[in-house]
Amino acid sequence: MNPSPCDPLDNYLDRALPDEAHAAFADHARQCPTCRQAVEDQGRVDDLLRRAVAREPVPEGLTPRIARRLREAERGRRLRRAAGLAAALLAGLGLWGLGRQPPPETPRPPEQAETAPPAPDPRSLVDVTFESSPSVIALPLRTDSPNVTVIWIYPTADVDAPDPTLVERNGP
Amino acid sequence: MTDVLEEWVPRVYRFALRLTGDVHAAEDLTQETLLRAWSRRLQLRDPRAARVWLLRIAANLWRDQARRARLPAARPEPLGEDVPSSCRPPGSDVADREELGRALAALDALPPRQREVLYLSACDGLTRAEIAEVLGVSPDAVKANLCLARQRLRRQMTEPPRLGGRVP
Repeated sequence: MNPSPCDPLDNYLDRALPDEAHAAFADHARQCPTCRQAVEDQGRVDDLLRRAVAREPVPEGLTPRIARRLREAERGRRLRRAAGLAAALLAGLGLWGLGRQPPPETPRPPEQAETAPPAPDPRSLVDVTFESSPSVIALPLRTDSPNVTVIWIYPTADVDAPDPTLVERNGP
Repeated sequence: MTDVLEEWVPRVYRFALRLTGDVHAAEDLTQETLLRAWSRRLQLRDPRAARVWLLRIAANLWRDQARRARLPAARPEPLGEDVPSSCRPPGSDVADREELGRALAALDALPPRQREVLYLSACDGLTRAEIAEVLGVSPDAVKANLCLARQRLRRQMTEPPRLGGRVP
């Protein structure tokens, strides 16, 4: 069965024809009353749908409510991350402190005990490096134990800052 | 963040309305979609793909919810009133509003898949391939559903409206 020149109608409406075929069907539609009517009707229906949908009101308060939920979620995420980082640091410092503990006293020859160097103050040896991040402030606090330093980590970033991954608009 | 939301919330909400057929469910779905998208925003490599990506999240969330709850297919009430064409003052705002209402009612009366593909094609300007990606179906299925939806809408919108009746 030979293909009808009306067959590409749906592909034409979908803008799915190659340029040449698109132009050929447009020529055909000018001559064919059925196709011309279908193209005109569909254009009118699509226009009506676009305008009708654009008039549908978005519930008042929906956008601010979502913004608030996003801020809460973001704050929670930063706090969890900061808490995890703090826990990791404390664990690391604790392990380091254990490693610096003098070994259990064992009987030694007197001359060896006299020449052993004094244990260093752990606080003077801690060297903590943070990744460069403008979103946290780290505040070290000494404790009564020479082997433990508590570090408070506060999230500071402005979550209202625009996210570049979602800013660019695409399409009509 | 607010600027981004001002742009995307209406688009996601209107698609959610087509999916759910219910304003409250659409609000919830919009909120969940934006929260999910925000938490996974680093996965979006190409910002130009944001539209398809967001709509796909909405469609997936809705499909999951519907599967869990075995929700019936959305059948929203038509928003427009049917008035005989002879009663319309030609070119007036009232006639225009009524015609827009008819169009929206006809769209919302389509079977779910046809409604979704026609909405994404006519109102969001997506290609067959993009619609297929949003809905998780094949481009051939999109083509078939689009064809049926268009034929039905053309027929309904060119027929004179019936007095006091719903769009079939």
